[in-house]
Amino acid sequence: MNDPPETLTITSRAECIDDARQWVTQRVREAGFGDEPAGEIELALTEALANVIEHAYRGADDKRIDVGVSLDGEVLRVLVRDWGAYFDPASYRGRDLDDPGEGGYGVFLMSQLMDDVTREPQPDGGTLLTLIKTRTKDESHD
Amino acid sequence: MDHEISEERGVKVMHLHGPIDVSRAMELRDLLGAQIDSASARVLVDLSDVSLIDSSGIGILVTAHRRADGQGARFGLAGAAGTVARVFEMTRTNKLLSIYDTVEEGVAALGD
Repeated sequence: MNDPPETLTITSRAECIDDARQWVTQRVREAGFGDEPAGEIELALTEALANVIEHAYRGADDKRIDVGVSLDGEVLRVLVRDWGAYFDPASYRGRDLDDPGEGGYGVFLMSQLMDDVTREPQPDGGTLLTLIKTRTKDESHD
Repeated sequence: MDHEISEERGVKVMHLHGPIDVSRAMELRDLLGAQIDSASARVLVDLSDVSLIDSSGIGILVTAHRRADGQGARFGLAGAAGTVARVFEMTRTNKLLSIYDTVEEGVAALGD
């Protein structure tokens, strides 16, 4: 896989999430990840993009989102870059898991599905969110 | 939302296909709302061909469950596997929702 990361640009519409998911999954598979981690990455990416559309861009459907994938040794990073409002995790209250309902699971699921999730505000506005998953030896095809 | 609906022993079985994410959640809400329309409704959602369900999809299913519960109808899920099954566990919605391993088990549980 190349460095700097390969990048796909999509528009901030829910219908575009599937395009990004397929594009990322192809690269995750090429990197040797199996069904389970590939499924986890797909879902974490879906939640990340849905949050960008709903919160960073507040539903605007004509904004830019860049999705990137990089592999550094065994560490896979999926990058989601937006130019919308910064999401402050410190001010976020997720769903109370004892009170099931609609909404509030996305950030929790990302943290559960990935080894690490980072958010960095960018100098020219917006956020770089990175979903990190380490490939286990069993998954390596090397 | 790619789906078919069959009827088995008085239970409407909604077979869903592909990913369920925010782009399909509203359609799923409408589909379920149309089926859970009376106290006598028995609705089972077959997830065996669903490749992904995100938090919006989970939320729709929780709402459908509550709607069914409030009406005296019966609502369940069947066939979830892999990450789809794990999402119900991670969100603990498996404790609220009626989840069956197979469609056959779900039909037996919900049917008359």
